[in-house]
Amino acid sequence: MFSKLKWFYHSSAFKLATTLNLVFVALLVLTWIVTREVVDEALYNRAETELLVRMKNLQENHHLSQKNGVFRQVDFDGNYIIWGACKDDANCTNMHPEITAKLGIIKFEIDDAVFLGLIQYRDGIRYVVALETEELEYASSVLDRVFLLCILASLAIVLLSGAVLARRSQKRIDQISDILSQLASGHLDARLAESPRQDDLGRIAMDINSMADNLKKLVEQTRNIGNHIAHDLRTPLTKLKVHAEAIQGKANQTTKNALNRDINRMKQVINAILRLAQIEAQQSQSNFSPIDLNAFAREIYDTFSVVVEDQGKRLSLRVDDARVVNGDVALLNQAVANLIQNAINYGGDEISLFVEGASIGLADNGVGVPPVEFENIIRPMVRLDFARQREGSGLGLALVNAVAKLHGAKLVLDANQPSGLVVRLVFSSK
Amino acid sequence: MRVLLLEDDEDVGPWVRTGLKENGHVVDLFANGKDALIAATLQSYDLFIFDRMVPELDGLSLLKSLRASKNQTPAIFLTALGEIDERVKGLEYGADDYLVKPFEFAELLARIDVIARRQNASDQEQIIELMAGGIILNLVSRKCSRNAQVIDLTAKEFQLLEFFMRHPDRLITRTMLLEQVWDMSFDPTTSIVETHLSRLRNKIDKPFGLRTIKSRRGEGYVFEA
Repeated sequence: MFSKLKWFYHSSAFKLATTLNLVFVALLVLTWIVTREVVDEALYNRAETELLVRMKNLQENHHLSQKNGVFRQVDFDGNYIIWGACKDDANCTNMHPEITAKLGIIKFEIDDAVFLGLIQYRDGIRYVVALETEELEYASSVLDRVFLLCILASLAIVLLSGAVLARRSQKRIDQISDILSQLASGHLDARLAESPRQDDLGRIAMDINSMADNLKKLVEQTRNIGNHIAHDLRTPLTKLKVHAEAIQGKANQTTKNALNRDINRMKQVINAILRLAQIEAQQSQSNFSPIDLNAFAREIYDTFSVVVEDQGKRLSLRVDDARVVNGDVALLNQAVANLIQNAINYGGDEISLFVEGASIGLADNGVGVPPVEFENIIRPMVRLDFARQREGSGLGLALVNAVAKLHGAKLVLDANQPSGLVVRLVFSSK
Repeated sequence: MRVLLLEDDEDVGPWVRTGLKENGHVVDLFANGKDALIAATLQSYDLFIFDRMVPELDGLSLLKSLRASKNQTPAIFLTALGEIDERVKGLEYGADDYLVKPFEFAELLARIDVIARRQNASDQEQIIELMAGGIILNLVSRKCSRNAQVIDLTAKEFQLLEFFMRHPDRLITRTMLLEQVWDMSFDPTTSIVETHLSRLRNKIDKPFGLRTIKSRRGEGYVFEA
């Protein structure tokens, strides 16, 4: 129930409907107040005129000798009227003390009936005329009831129509957000159903569909371009290899070996470039599975510790509060392998592979990298001076960075203490 | 083996054909997908080797339509499209292996060998112990011994030896080992294979004065008991 209310509260359609309807109710209340004021005044004026006419009649036709005092009687409409005149105030007190206390228009109550009266004093005689105001009160109360009913009814309609509208548009908004998240996770065939209503949401749906069409076309184009580049680079290289293999004779063996070495080197660079391009273009997380960083790091350690050892260095493993992260094992494998390769090539002789919670990284005790270069070295093809003499594509860290991005992780570089570099992949912990 | 080779490059096609012929295979070479499809439906082959990007009908669609018509001949893709998802696509469409250009010819031969062996050996799962040259590898207890002497192997060394013993007397390339033992479809540029192999040799060969895993320069390794 609570979540339903919360859902309503967060629905923009419900908010809109409620706001519009509340404005309407406010206008209704204002109208009510103004109308009451106007009607009250009109009725009051009419009563006053009536009192004045009756007062004139009374003064012209009344003879004290006949009746001295104030009397109450029922008129033709069944309403009470009070009238009378008295020479001596004492004769007028029988009805209500207000009558002798004041002059002009007064309001007083007798037996739960409210009267509006006019008192005049002329030639030593007090003249009294009063009418029951039931008619007046009745009109006001009818007005009140009508308006109250209207307000209650519109409040009910507000909630009901708001809920219906909210439900209807929320369903469509949910569909839109569902399709958008599908597109974002790489399912480029996801489309919204065409809406027969030509409203704003319908237009947004159409825009999203055409955007998805374009996106799909673009991704396909990029892929085709990538495929063509791969084809156009690897095919001549293969031909080169075929020609190199055709070189005969012992004297030419050195040339043949040199050619093959260079071909392999070019092959590695092309592979690295295409792989980087592919990972950077990749949107889909379809190859993702839960990875226990502890087991993952141990596997890497088992593979690489002997390799590092053979290079005259030492690899150690430190695991602290390892988490399970969602990722592409093959890509993470390659990323960490690249980091180890970098540490072997450029780092010190103490290399540490570590897992801290949801991050995995490498630290070494080498000369490190100046912090101002941190931003640069993760860019493709950027190599610092000391690395330029060594073999490598300059794509290693760029690839690690691309893998990190695909995983929604961060590649963080730090200076190690007292010297060296710390590189870590920090996954968002859920 | 009778091989159907689909390759449109005028240098690469004949090179592969000559190499395969030298190794005792019979090769029909086609330069476009349509001709290859006709040949594959008219004759029976032991192996398909397809380039992915060829005129008329690309290798992927060709294999797809052959598999749809229940043709189960093993197939290897020989292609310039080496990226992981292309590789996965190739294998999903029913290819048995996927080789990225440029490749060493020995690599191709080694892979053909493995596929040919796979065709013959049917129920590998039931093997409990592998035995050769006095080496006994128990796949259940994960224990290894040679000439009744127990040898301690790490998990990776065990996997490595198992792969060799399952493919005796065959050329095994570095790339094959990276893919099969380490599940790496990229070249790690470090000497992973060489290092682990040298440690394995120090355990299973050196103490006995033997050389069971032999190196073939520039090609790979062969397990000979």
